[in-house]
Amino acid sequence: MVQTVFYYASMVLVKFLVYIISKILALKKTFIKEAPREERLKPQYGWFESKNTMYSEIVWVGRATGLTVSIPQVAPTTQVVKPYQGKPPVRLYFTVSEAASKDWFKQIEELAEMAEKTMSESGE
Amino acid sequence: MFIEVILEADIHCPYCAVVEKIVKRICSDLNIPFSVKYATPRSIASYEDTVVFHTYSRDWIERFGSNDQKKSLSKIAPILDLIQRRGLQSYPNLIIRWYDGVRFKEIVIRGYDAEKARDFARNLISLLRGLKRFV
Repeated sequence: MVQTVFYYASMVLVKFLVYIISKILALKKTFIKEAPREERLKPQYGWFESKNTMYSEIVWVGRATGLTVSIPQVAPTTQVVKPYQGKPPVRLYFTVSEAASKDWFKQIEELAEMAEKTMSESGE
Repeated sequence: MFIEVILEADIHCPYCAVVEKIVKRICSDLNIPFSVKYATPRSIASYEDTVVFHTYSRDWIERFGSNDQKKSLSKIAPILDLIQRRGLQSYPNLIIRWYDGVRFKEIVIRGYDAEKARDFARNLISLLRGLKRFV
């Protein structure tokens, strides 16, 4: 009985001492804080327009690789030539029953005349 | 100058096969170039009960269509809208193209009817023969 009392009392004492020593060591510890960074107002990467007086150019600066590419803004020198366009086709639609009828050729003639008339009116 | 016959067909369409057989024979007899152009999966079989399917477009019928077309438009307008929206193509289409020195001219014949096949073939032969002489 007496032994157990001493045992527990010594254990509590040792634990208390360890706790106090750990607290004292923790207080002595120095924490390093991050230094305040400088604010970067200008962007470091992306598209930039150079202030070259001789000619205008655009510079690309890459983010990951730091690649710089300059693209000169060259004015188009070649003349834009309109491609040749023929007259639009005339298309007549029929069903099989119409195509099989006797009046089919008459219908074609009428439609063709109508198409020519509308084209001459529109000036194509 | 220039004349050719093109058939827009579908692989699984029995009518297209019949039309191909007829037109191929006519073209080989008259010595006219003939080719088959297979339609995309986004295509529909042409239906020729009403004249509305001449153009497959509501706007065209409203602007230039005949009275018959305008009468039957009310029933079939939603289908026409769907066809226009999806960009569906019909088959079989027989296209006769020729160039008269000024512009291309085309006659498009849609659909197929087995009962009128003989008359259709006869008319087609006379048309192609005339065109060949003219062109």
